[in-house]
Amino acid sequence: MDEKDKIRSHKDKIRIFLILYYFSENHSDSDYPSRKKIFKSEVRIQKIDFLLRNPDYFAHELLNIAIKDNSKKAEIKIIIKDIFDKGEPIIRRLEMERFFFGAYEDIDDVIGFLKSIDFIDFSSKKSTDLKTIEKQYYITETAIQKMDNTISNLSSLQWYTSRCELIKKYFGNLSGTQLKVSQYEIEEYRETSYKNYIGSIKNLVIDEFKKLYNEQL
Amino acid sequence: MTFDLKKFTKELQSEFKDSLTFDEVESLLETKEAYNKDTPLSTGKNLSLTYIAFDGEKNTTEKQNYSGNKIKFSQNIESGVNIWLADNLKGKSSVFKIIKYALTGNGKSIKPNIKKWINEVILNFKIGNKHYTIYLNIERRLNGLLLNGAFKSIIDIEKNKEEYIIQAKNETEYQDKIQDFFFKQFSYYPLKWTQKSSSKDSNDLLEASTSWSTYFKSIFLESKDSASLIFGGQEKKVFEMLMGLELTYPINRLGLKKDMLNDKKGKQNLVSKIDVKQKEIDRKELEEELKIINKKLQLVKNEKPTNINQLYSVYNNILKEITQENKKSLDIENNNLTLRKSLNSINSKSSSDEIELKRIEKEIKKNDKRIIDIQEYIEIGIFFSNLDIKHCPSCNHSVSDNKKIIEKVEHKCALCNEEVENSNSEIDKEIYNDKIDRLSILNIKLGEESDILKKNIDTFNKQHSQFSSEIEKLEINKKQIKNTNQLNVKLKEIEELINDEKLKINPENLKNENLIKEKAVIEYKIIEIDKSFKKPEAIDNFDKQIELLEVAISKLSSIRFQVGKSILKRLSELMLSEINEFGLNSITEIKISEKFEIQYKQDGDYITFNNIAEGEQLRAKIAFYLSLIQLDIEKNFGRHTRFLIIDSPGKEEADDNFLKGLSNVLKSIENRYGEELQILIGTAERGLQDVVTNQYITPKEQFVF
Repeated sequence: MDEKDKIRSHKDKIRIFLILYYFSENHSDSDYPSRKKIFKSEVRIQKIDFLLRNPDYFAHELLNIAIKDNSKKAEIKIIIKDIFDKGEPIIRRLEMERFFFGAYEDIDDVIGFLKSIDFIDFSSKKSTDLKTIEKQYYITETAIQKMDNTISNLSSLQWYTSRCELIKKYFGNLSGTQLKVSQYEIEEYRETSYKNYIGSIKNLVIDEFKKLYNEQL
Repeated sequence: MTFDLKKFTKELQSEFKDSLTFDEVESLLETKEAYNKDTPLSTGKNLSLTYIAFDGEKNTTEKQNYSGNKIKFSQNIESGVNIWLADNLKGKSSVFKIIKYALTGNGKSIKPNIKKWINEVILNFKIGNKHYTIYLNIERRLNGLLLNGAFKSIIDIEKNKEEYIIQAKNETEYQDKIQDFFFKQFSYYPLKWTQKSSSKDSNDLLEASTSWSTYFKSIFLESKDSASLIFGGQEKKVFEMLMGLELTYPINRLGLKKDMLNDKKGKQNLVSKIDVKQKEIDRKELEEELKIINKKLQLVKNEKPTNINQLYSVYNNILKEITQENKKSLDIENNNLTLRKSLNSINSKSSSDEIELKRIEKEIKKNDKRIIDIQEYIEIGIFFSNLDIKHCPSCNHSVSDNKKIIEKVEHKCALCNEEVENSNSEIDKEIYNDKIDRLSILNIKLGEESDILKKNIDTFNKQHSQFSSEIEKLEINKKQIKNTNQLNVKLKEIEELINDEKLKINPENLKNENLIKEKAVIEYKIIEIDKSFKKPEAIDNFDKQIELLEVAISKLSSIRFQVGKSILKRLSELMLSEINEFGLNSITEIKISEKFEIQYKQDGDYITFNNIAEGEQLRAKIAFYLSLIQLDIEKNFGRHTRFLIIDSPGKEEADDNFLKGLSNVLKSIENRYGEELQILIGTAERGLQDVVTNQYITPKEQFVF
């Protein structure tokens, strides 16, 4: 494995874990006492991941909210300006392939790893045609302890924490499917063919930002 | 032998020191290539065919029993002596002529109707040990290829055609290129001579030269040419080339120079006589004209004072104004041009800086991204590598302590048991921190560069607006310039007024001016004629130059002869023994002169080839070529290709001894030199059957193809 792949592999592991951690709900099950939090559906992981990896799309989603909801216009302006000032659409971007149902990347390895170190557990059902459905992920007690003691102190993860909180604030109540529908409204995303990388919409955001706030990003 | 040209030049100049300077002598003796170009030593190469094939269709205008028959001829050819045995007029000669066509591009001697029949020709041949293939397509016009290697089929040729040595799209191109190829192979070059232009109204002297086709006459001995040693007027030149004696090149080129000078001299004599006569006539006529003009001038001499000065001054003022306005306009245009040039240069500098700036900014962001990635990797990597594997993600079994020990000690994965690198689990923090430091420093530098670029771009923008406003100002100034068209119209009007006025005052005035002009022209012409009379003709000098060249050629020829004498002597000895072998015992001695004339001593008299009896010439001729080849093989002298095509020997030779002699010679050649030469013989003499091993017999009355 070369350095690039090693870095990428660790990045994926921690990112997916943080998504599961921040977007799960408290949970308790007497049969599995170590399962402390629950996260439903793989699609939702993929979609949140997409927003995390594509700050320009995140900014675009925020713009849509600002257009509809005047009360949030001012705070969203500050967030988007910050994203662009820091050059996030380039330096925080991690390209993602479009799969059959939108942004998708195989996370089985990551999930396997997280399970092997006892960070998560999962359960699923098989449908009548033997497809895996209703995947559910659980955060274990071990993971919560590590998170509290170690992970939350790592300075390099501060950005993820605050971005996850922002996503949660504005989109936390949306299910994976709802998120997907709203991403599909963007032409670049919709037009990307199967297995190609989804391109940047930085310039689109700059244009729309100017229209809404009459200010250059 | 090394020839000392400098010494030779000095010696010659001392003989001509009264008439020619050293530089003149040197330039007269100068030739394009070195005097040492020639060597009589053999190249050691020989030409031999290995395969000939051609196809086509016998299309005839009048119905014949063979009309429409397809031609598909192919024949392997061996080294040594090869005999084609077939009746006369059955196609032997055509096969040879097609071979000649392929080797030279010269297909003139093929009968026109037969040439039309042939579509494609394939010829395989060797020079030394190297194999080559010639492919000709002559369906419409000639398309020729020369390839490395021996290919008998069109398919193989097609496969290898991209690696051609020669490719030609028409006959002339093919002739030039194949000539170049064979010249290089056998160290031939063109020998030159002069000849009068064939067009009647031209007395120009043209340069002619021997070609590969000319030299090929020493290979292909056609039956019709048996009366001369080498067919065509250039037999001595071909002989000279085949011998390759030293100094042949300069002797030839100086001879050419001499002929050209002779021609020039002749022309100048002629021209100058005609010229003088014509000039005398012209001068007389001009003097007559001058007399008449002088008389007319006398008549119009009575001038009256005129008063058109006022008009002149108005005219001059307008002219001044036009000039001034034009100058202003020109100045503005020049300024405008300079400014626009500067503007363009600023634009291009600015845009190149902008591109560079974008690139640097991109680079900085890329580095930022990497710094973030590495920082993350250090922290998370250490964090993850400190964790224990607890479960198998597939079956959910716990990983036993034992397996964890094995992983540590034996470096085998606790889950899948595959080998793992020890270093994989450890992250060398220092290396990565180092990387971050380096990237940060790089980014600081890039930031500095980008600041400079931004400053530059800012300056360019300022200059841009400054120049733009200056250009605007110029545009305004330009509008203020007066329209010179109107002024020009006015000027023209006044000019007409002045002319009218002049005519009114003195109609003869204009006439006077014109007469003065005419007079000046005639006087000038007379002066020119007088000048040209005085020019001395350099005829004397021509004579001296020609004389020098003659002396030089004669000296060089005798040096060549002295140096090459022993070789020529060997050749004449070989010729004599060969001729005797053929049954011509009356010839008792052969001499080769300085000028490459061959003399045969018969019955006490020296005679030339042309004087040998008709029935004996062919033998003498074959003897000549066989001797050349022997000289090459045995003594390593000369440049003959060691390849001969002898068409129908014996046709004219009445003597029975000839056939016997010929078959003896052929046998002896085969025994002595089998592998080292190749002779193709076409004959209708059935008596030559079974004389040599390689024979291709066409039954009586049948066609070869």
